[in-house]
Amino acid sequence: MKKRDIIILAIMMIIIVIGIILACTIGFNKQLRYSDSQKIDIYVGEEVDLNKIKEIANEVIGNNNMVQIIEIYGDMVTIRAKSISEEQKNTIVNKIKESYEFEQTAENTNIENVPATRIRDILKKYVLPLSVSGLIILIYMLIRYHKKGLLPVMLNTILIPIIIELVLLSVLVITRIPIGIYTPSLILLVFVFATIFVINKIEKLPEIKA
Amino acid sequence: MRRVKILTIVLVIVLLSLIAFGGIYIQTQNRMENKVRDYKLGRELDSQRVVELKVAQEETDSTKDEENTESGTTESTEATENTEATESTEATENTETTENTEDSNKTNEETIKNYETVKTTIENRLDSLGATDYTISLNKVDGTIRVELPENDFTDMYIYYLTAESRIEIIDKETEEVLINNDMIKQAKYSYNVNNSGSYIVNEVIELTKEGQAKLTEILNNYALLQTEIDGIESEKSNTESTATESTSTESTQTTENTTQTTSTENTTEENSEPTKKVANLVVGETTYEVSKIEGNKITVQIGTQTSNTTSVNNYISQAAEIAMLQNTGKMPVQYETYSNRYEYSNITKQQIGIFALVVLSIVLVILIIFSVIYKVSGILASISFIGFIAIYSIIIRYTNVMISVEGICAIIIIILLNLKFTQELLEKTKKVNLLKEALKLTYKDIFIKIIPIIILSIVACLTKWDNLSSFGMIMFWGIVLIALYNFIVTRTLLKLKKQ
Repeated sequence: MKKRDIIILAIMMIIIVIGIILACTIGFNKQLRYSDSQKIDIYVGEEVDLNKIKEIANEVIGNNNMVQIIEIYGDMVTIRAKSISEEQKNTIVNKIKESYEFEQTAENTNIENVPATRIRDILKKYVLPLSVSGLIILIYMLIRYHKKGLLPVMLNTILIPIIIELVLLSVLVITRIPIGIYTPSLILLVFVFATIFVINKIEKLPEIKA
Repeated sequence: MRRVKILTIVLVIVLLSLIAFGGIYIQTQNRMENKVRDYKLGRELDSQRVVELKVAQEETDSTKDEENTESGTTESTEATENTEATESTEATENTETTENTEDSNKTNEETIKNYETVKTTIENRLDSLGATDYTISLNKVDGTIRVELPENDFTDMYIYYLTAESRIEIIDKETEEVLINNDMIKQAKYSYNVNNSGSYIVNEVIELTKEGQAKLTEILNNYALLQTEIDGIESEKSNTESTATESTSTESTQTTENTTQTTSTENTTEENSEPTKKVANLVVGETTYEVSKIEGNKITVQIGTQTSNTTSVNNYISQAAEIAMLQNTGKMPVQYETYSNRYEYSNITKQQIGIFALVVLSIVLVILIIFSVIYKVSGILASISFIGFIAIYSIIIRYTNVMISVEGICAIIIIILLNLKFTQELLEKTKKVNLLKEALKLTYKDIFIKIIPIIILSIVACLTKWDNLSSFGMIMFWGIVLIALYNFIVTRTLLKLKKQ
């Protein structure tokens, strides 16, 4: 192993350890879509301009909010944020009332709780397909590169993708980048490039003479 | 001639690009309509159905009542405690408070466990019904469950089964006392067969737990559960009743003459009715079914028979399948009801997706310009070919009915990167080897050997039931196939014509 590789590996290990500690203590930061939040539903009664409502929501609650049009005719809107106070609710409804005419008042608008989605519920569906493909890839690598020695091929194929994925998750937890709908895609992307990296690495390994 | 050929290919690529990125507009009913199929977007990018389930009101009321009774008991206990308070020390009071807190903690834990069980049951039901994409979240405080489902033909059916209940119970026909409850049922299976007379019989085999089996053996001593037994008892009853009526009429006519004889007949009737068993019924929900066989811990229930009508047979089968599914996917310890059922558009707008696509295409364009600068004419031709590749790829994605999820977008990016790598390798090798055929052979060998594991991943992803991952797999699969074919047909031809 080269000195450079050892340094890289050591840095990775430090990142992973910090990541594990942070994940166990403060946990991952979740996108609003998946975290405990509050919402208000407003029935406007006519087609809603999403950008206009988003502007109002940004102004009153701050940028960490989710504005969605609901119902098939797009005449209702739901605003979701980490927490919505009575005052914020009243301001939002009254501001929307300035642009649209509708019956719903701030008094009869309820603040409702939205439960959080667990990270394991988001990621669990990836576990089986990724494990199955990982196993088939391992078998393929062992057959294709058997001349390069079974142990180094097996270790590289198993450990490199796992370490890279752990580094990715650790970076996410350390930098507090929220886990969201793009996270599984990021995991897949990293898995693909880690596999290509493994093949390049194994191809450079010398063949073992019989 | 060579230039004409190159120009023709370039024009075809331009035409394809115009179709793919602009569309084909034809006037239909006084408006222009794009005849090129639109992209099929996934749940997170388009719209979804959001259902909120809350603990049923009745359940909450009864829980409150229970709590009230409990608090009543606690009050009375407190009253007694008060009288004894003078005698007891502070230390004992403290230990009692700790015990109470422990008790309430236990109840809380049990309630949360029940909510979790319901969530798991709902997940099992959705899996069993073949729901390909969903997200479930649970609020452990009030038990609210939020289910996000894709909008399609089956969504309403999925929503119905989120809270549907079919309790299988064996009850006393007269008193309606539950003899075997739903918790004693292990699983249910359905089957159908044809009997000698040619009629279809749809059966449900209900398997009991050990406790259930013990209870069943006990019940069968006093109760008749099999339909044949019940029929026997009922015919016996009706016989007795008719005999009783006859005897009464005889009484009225011959009262004065045969008083002693009538009394003796009545006595015999009473003696005959004494050994008869009570009747128990197997009830699913509110429907009573006939039990045709009992074997160990298995009870065979007849759901229905039909001679020729296929619709009725199918109805019986789906009824039996529904009972089996609801029973096998787990219990619902808490009764839930649908609080809200809404159609929700994604917060990611089509405009945002468009901006993202433009950013990606701009980056690709910059890379292609770099290729053109480095590899000159070959680079320009390869870049034009690359644009054609993206155009055909976008048409293929639309016409193969592949759903685009966030994972699908990730697959598109991977394919674009792979094709960029392929083009760069081909140009580099052509420059070095100066023999196109040899360079092409080497590039194919280098790239495709390296991406075999990715092909494996794509195929496995294609085979998964889950929409997001199958979208990734399908898009990857079509992309890899296109890289192999398109570059052989178009890029190679263009570079070959340039060489000539």
